[in-house]
Amino acid sequence: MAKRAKGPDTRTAQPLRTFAQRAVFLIFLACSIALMVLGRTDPDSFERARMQVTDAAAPILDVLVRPVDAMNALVEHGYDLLYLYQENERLRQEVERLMQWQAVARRLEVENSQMRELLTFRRETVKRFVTGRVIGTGGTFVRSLLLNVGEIQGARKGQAAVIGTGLIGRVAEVGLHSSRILLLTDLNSRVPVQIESSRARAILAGDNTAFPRLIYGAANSDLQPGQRVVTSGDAGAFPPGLPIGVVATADESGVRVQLYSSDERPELVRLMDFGLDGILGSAPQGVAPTRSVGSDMRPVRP
Amino acid sequence: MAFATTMRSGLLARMDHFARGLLPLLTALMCVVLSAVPSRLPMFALVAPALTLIAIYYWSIYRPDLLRGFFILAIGLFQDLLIGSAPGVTSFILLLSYLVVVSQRRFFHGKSFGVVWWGFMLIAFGAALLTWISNMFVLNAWIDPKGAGISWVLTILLYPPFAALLSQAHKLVPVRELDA
Repeated sequence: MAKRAKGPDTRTAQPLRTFAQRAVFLIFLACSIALMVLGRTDPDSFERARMQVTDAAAPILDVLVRPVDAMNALVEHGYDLLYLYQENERLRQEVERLMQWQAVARRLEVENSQMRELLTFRRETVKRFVTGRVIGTGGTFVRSLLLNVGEIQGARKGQAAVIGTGLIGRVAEVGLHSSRILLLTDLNSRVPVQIESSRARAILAGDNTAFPRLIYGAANSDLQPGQRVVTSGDAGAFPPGLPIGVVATADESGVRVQLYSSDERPELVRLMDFGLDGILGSAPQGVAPTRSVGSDMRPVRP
Repeated sequence: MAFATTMRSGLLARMDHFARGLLPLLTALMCVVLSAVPSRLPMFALVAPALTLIAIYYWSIYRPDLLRGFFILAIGLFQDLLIGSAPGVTSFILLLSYLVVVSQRRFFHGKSFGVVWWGFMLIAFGAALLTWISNMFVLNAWIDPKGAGISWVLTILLYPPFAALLSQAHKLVPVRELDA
């Protein structure tokens, strides 16, 4: 069979076939370039496809992530047992310190409530929240998390994604059974923040590194390492005061923030709905609150 | 002999043959899904190894006939949509890698594992470099190349175990008719 295939007809047909195969291959290559260009000019066009793919893959990822989580829990358990004594000692000290804080907090709470009554202040409270399991992550160039909760479970675009230590990002895309969180460290993440002590406003801009930058701060902000950074509530995206991190470095090269959540590999993430529609609900994927953050601000894209 | 002929022409045997032929595609898709699973390891926090490239490289050398251009385009797009990265970038990188490896595949035939690994190192470097540049183009911003560098090293380190698994799958893939 193989010997017969090497007849004169095949010899002429072979280069033709190779040529056709190469041509088809080049068409596929051109298709991928066209996809890249389309993705850049109109990122929204892929949003639906993206969420359909994620919805379809969510059950598989949900199953695959369980052993990983179990293994992680086992390692953590072992680690905890090793350092039980030191951890206990540390916690004892922390409880003592926190008891003092509790006294201060109680006094402030009473004072605050009295003052709020005087001002008839309206406080933003969480209307509802939904907790989801992390079933996927982004790649080297995307800082995102995939959760196993979607529209059906109550996830909505623009909700704040929070873990125990503070804000980690916001819901960027929602499918029926899955949603994608754009982390604060992502290149496209822009969140209006303020320095807790000085109330100086700025924008927290991710750049794919572990330490996002503070940009568009006022020249006289006088930022110092160690200052707490919280959400400012501007643009009506998040309520003010959600903890984000502390100023890590502040020099000529810029100001960078160490996130409270930077060492965390969250297994569960809570999505909080404050009932603030803001501009995030309609913001295009990957482009955060920048356009409506404030009329005096220019677009954030470098 | 007659029994064997009957078996070969049997529907079940043909289905079996077809399913085994899909193994390269299925293993590549599995790599895509695995690369989306959160590992919880600190070193994986900011980078992700290019697992799909390992599968594409392996099958491009040994069975390029079972992983055609359209499949690679689809695998790349699937990865981009699942991971949330810029659509088209992974397809582009995988297609180019496939093109380069297929043109050099005869060189790797019969060579030791070290040589194949060394070849992967080069291909993965080119792929990491191109991915970094393409992402900067698509995202229109400067990106620290450190992430791409670490991802490259991780990908190389993960090649041996994944290649071992792929070679197990390779044993199940039907032999090419021309080779038989």
